[in-house]
Amino acid sequence: MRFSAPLNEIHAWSSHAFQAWDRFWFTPRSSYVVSLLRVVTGLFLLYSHLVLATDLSSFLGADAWINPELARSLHDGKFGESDWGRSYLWYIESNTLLWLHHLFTIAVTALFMVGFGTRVTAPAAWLLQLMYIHRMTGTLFGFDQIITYMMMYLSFTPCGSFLSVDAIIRKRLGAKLDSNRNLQWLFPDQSPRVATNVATRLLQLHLCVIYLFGGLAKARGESWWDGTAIWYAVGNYEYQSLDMTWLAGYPRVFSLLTHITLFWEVSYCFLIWPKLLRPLTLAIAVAVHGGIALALGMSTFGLAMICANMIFVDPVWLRRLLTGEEPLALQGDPEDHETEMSELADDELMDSSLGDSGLGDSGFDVGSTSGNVEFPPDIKERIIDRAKKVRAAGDKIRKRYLLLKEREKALKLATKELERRKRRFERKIPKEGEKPSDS
Amino acid sequence: MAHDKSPLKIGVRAAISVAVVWHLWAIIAPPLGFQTRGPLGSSPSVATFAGPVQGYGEMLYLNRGYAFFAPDPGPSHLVQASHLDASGNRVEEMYPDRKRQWPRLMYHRHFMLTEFLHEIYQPPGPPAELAKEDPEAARQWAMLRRRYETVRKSFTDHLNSSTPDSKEFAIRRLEHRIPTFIEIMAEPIPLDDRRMYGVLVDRPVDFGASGGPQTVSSEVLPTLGNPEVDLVERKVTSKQATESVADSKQVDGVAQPLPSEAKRISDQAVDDAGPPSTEAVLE
Repeated sequence: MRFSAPLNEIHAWSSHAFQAWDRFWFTPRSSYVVSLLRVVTGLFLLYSHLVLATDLSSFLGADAWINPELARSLHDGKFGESDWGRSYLWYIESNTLLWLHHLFTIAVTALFMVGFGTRVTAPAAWLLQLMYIHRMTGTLFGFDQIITYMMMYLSFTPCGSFLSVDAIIRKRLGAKLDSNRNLQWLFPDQSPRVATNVATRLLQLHLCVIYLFGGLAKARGESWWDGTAIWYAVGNYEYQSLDMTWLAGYPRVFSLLTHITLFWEVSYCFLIWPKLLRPLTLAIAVAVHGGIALALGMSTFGLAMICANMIFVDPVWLRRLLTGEEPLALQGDPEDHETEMSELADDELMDSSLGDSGLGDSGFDVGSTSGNVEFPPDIKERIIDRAKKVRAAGDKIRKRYLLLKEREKALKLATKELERRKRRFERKIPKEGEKPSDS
Repeated sequence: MAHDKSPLKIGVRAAISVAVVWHLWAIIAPPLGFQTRGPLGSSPSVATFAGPVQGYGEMLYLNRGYAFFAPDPGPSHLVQASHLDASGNRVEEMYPDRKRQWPRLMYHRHFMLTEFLHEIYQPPGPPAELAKEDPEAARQWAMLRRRYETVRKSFTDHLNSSTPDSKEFAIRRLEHRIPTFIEIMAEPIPLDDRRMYGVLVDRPVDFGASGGPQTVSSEVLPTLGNPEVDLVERKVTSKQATESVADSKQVDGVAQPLPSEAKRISDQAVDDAGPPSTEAVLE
């Protein structure tokens, strides 16, 4: 018996955690954001392949900087531990074959970008990208990482349902789709889906990991603490694309930028979830990555990171922004419900991350549905008192609503009656020059 | 109880949850492993934690540390290549070079290559003492050195094949130091000032007075002279170049240290040679 209280508590906690997990991962989500991400990711990847085409043999050919045999050796254990990175491009040395393969890759990526056959071209473009990644060891940087990750997550979503050729085809197919499930899968509609949500959540968490460990790695360096890191970044000639050496005269400015960057990066994984702080966190992301794009010569990387951050944008808000459609507020727009559920899940994630540290709003798990949480008596009393007041207010509103409904009914009846009388009255009054009727 | 909005059955949700946890594990493990690596190797607990998802992460390119500009934004590492053109003139080129590699993404790929060569650099060796005391560490040293030599050879082979009329390619690594803001304020020099460049000489680690093997590899350019001498364009006779190349012993197709050059390099102690102006060469 004496174990029942803690057991109940554990049960209540696990039940709450299960619901939160379920809501976080399995609430269907609209595909507007992933569709827009498809367009920009496709553009970046296409650009990358086109740039590679300008000197293909130097990077993939038999006499490339890293020749095919060496590329294989860097993965197969010849120089240390073997890893699972594999690429058939290690075995292609013929220039003609390489070019044919590269043209095929460009075509697939272009189709993915425009959203044609996205269910097939998305995973195909991602797998092709992985082959290039494992072949081009030694030439890669952050841009390749983020693009490959975005491709990976988009491959599992109906990202061709919006802003795509697939969406046009779907419209043209019309009624044919109703009876064909394969076509429905191939040309998905814009309805919210669990797959979109899972991919969105994974990319969101992946970004949190990237920033957290990026920040922790920086925190090991001295220059990120003494405020000189930004100076050394902008003072690097090989990275430089905009002369920022004038910053040398403003140590307070570059040291402030250094500290903001470090603290923002380390705390991104906490700051991005609360609705209130999200716009600020994203604004700093745009500023940091915009700065990298403009001043440090990595426009592709900077822009790709800004686009990746778009995954935190509410899909319903994005649709309204792109199409100008307003929600049907009086009818209860289901997409508003989607936003609410998504926000609730985000809040729960935030609560769970702050709960143990006591950093939550009140220090109490007010969202708990268990009813087993022990509050101090005075707070308990206040809660009960407030609950009574809320219930009373609710009753009042309900009564007033019923009263209004009755009045509305009565008003309608009265209006009808008035109209009937008016019509009768009009029939009784003779027009000028007419004889009054006998009746 | 699950909330009613999910259209999936509980079994499907459970299966997806397992996959999600696995994937999240693979996302977190590599940067954690990267951050917990020290001079003695990886943290044993983190290595155990990362073990099961290591292959999956490698396959999907999740095995990254995300240490951008970390722990400190440091100097750049470049490659200077030298070859004899058809008329026997020595020509030197710098990699990366934003004037020759365009667009910026292409330039950046070349930059990453030269940084990669620096990152995997392993000095010649192993020292005889290490081979006696810790044969495993010595074996590891030799393997890492072989990796560096193979990558360097691949670079030289590429340069050889991309300019068929030229010959006797050799490359060396340079470091481009970043001036402090105090230096810039005291003397506003351009970031590509010659004084900011230094040659990274390929020589064994100094083990004190007893000394390790006093050898350097053929990486150092055959005609490397006084640091103050103009490195932009130097004529070398074919004979000199041939002698220099003939000195290098080839074992398993990899250039081995050149004993004949050891003394010369240690005497010259080229640490601030300054970069060549490749534009001048190209013009």
